Amino acid sequence: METKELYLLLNVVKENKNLNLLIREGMSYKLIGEITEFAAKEKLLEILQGQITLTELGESKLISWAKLFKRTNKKEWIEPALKSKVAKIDKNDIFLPSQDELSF
Amino acid sequence: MENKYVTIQDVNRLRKIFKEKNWINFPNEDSVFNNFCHLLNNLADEQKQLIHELTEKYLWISSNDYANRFNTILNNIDDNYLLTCRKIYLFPVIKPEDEPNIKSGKHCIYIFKGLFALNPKFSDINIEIIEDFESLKSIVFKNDGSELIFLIDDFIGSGETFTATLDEAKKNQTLSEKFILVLSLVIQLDALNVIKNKYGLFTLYSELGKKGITDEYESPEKEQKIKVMEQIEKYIKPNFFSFGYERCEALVTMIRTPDNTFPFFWMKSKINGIEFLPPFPRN
Repeated sequence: METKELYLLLNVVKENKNLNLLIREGMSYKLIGEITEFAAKEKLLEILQGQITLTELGESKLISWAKLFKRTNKKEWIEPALKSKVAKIDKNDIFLPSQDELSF
Repeated sequence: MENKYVTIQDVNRLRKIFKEKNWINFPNEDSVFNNFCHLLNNLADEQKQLIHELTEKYLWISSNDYANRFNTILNNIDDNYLLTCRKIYLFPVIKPEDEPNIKSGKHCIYIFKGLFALNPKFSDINIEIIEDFESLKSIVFKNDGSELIFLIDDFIGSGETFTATLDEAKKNQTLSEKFILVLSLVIQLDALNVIKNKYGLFTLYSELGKKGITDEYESPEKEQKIKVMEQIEKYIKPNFFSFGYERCEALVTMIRTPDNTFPFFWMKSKINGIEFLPPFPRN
């Protein structure tokens, strides 16, 4: 397990975010379960009657790791929609896309 | 509209079940776990709740566990049956038309054959596998207590296959139900009642399965849970496997998952045009 994965998971718990974010980062549900268990053992998370919350220790770890992992470079988290990209055309040309090819 | 996604609480709850049942040490459990979660990620809260509750009752027996459980069954056979017994015939629970196919009953027979050889309780008894119905019909049984016939399978669900087996076997008129024992790893309560009440046969098993919703919830919760499962099955379109073959509502996976199990656990779901693998695919 990497610290970054732990950071992302704590962040999801704190912000009550969707787990799809972690899946998009390449984590499996199995790994998410393992990291949650690890974080609870390390007292970064508290599991009470099935509800999971961040502990004070978890909060402080999250703040200290944020500097390491917070992605400020937008190229890392905003991807161009390449499938909608069209070939460059002359400024006097008029582009009429096929109705079937429209994806927006 | 309600958001449908799997929460960290769901993942943790499922992991707890996997740990309590020791599934985390089963082969390929990670794929089972991940498939579970991908499906939960598309279910509404009350649908997820039902799946969690059913999974808590779910029985997964790995192939490694067969020998131990079968041996326990052998050890539980009453000594009175064996006092005069000198020969035991083994025959699988199988429909006559399935005989050419590889079916679970045949697989179990060979496990039993090996177990008998090692179990001192049976050291003085000759064990013989009956290969097919044709051979079974040609045997002249003694019916004096010196011979027993064991009908064997790993799972008996609706009792339909068992009835077909026995009906065909009884074409041998020397076969007496008095000397037949049924041995199965898991048997559904309904099938056990058929075997006991209709045929009066003695049955030994490792686990007794109940209907996952009908036998486990009281009204009006039962009807509400049935409705929730019907909603889930809209993603599966299981036709005559709805609630499991013959509506057995089974919650079991062994080497394979019987089709009597709720289809959510073994059939693909299609949700918003995307296909999802079940936790325990049969193919």
